[in-house]
Amino acid sequence: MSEILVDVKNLTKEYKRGDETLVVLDNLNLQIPKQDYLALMGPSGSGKSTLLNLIGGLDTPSNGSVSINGERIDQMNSKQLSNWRATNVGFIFQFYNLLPVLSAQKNIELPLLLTNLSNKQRKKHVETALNIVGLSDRASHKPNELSGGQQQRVAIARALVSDPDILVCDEPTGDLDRDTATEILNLLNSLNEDHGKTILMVTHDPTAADSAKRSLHLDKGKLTT
Amino acid sequence: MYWVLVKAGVFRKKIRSLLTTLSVIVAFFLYGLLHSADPLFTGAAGEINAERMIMMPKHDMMFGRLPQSHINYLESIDSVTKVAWIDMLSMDINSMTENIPIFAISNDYFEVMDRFKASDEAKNAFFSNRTGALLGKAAADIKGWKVGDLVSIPTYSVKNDGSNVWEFYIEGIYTTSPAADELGIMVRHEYVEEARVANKGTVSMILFNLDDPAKADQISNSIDDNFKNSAYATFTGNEITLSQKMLADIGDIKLIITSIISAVFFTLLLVTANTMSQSVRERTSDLAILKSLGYRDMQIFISILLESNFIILIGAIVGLGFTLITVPLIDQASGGLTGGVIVFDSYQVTKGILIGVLMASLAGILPAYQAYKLKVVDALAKGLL
Repeated sequence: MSEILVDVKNLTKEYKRGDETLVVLDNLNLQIPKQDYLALMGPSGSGKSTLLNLIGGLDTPSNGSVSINGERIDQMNSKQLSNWRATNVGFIFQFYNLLPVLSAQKNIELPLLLTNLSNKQRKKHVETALNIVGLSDRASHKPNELSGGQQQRVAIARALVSDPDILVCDEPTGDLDRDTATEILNLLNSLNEDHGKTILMVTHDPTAADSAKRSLHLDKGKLTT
Repeated sequence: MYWVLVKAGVFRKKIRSLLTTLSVIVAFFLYGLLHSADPLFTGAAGEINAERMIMMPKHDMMFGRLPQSHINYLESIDSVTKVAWIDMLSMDINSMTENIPIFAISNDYFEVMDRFKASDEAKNAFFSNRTGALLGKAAADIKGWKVGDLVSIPTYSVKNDGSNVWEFYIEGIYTTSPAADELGIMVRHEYVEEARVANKGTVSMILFNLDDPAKADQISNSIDDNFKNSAYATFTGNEITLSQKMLADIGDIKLIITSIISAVFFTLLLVTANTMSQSVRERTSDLAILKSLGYRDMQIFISILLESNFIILIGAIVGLGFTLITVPLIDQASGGLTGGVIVFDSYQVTKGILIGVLMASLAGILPAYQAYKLKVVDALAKGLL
């Protein structure tokens, strides 16, 4: 069996709403091997995005543990989590969220500004990421000069550029037309197959889920398949 | 790293940033111009200093009179080393730009008021001629008069012969700082006293030196106490005190100007803080993305503060720069008369920039804290990512 990258044990996430306690994730266990490509599906409010956020180090659990590559990220404080995110995880969101003032190249470079890499090294990394997503000729374009699919490719390049172990994608094709969505899914496949990236994707789209190696369903905070 | 973040914030809404910067420029330009006139309000323009003592009429400093017996009184005080006096011939204040003011000075005037300079040759010629005059350099430049000219100046002071036009021979030129004090003509008091019909036996002000400037307050108080119940009550003090008193008679101009500047800055602070706050709210998704990429809360906090500093300091530097360009132009346009009176120096610039930093920090701190507290999951929950 492949080495385990993500190890989630007895994970619970609760929110307080006045006197009421809302259990979003209920004693959940999940293991994701390295180079896996896992699609998480489920109805709205099932806890998919919450699980994604916990694995991506954007949130902390109420109970249980989350280990990534053997590191207990649930025990990290805010500063440690920020540092961890900078090098270990790449996020791809539905709305790309590129900074409008910056060119594609500068947007992709953003995570690298937190490292000690020289300007030249950063440029090289950005070029590599742009090559992978097939946008070398759009490096100097601003987001408003790019199509939705191209913007999502830039966002993928931004997620890739610091060479993280895992890419977490929250509805990456949710804002794209079918053809463009297929292109993005092909790109994610390529990142998984050719570049060995572990991918965890939350989606409502069965077509998108089909492109993953496997799918899991969440309902009311529990894995059902 | 921070420059990229600042740039991403400032240039996101270019027009808004530009307009905010323009308002900052205007505010600091106004600050610069008003503060450049500070020497006027402190009474310390040019070479005016605290060592030259002046006695003036208490209740009407501009046009009041003092009896010459006050001179005798001053000369009787042990600590007073030298006494001089000056009298201004009554003139139509509206025509003073056309007809320069005439100051009748006593023989020791230049020794007591040593900031007024004239060559020995000019002074000798002046004191040898009863109707001689020393012309201020600025006045000479404006009127085009020169040494050797015989000038006629109409006044409200009537002479014994019934005429109100006084004639003087220009024997030399005097200079001083501030240059505005060169807008006059000095004539012999002895001659004026003898030739005029009214105000005989009185002077406009009496000037004196002390053997020890430290005694200034004590002696001033004692002199003013002595005349407080007299018809000729006095106000005695050094040049700076007197300048301030004369300004205070008009009104607390410094307080008015400080209030205007404070109101401008306070409004600007609210405008900038609101702009920054709005900008941060609009960029919730950008800031959340940065945090998801690994940017720490404190780095985001600092970047917002730097952004606020960038907008305000650029505005402050440009505004103060305009002042630095404008003040010499004003001086040039005034023919150098404002030199020493309107001054904008490195101290004022530094003070302006420090005010800018303070304002930027105040305007930016709440939005920066908003950004600091922002949680990526909250932005996700709002469907922004």
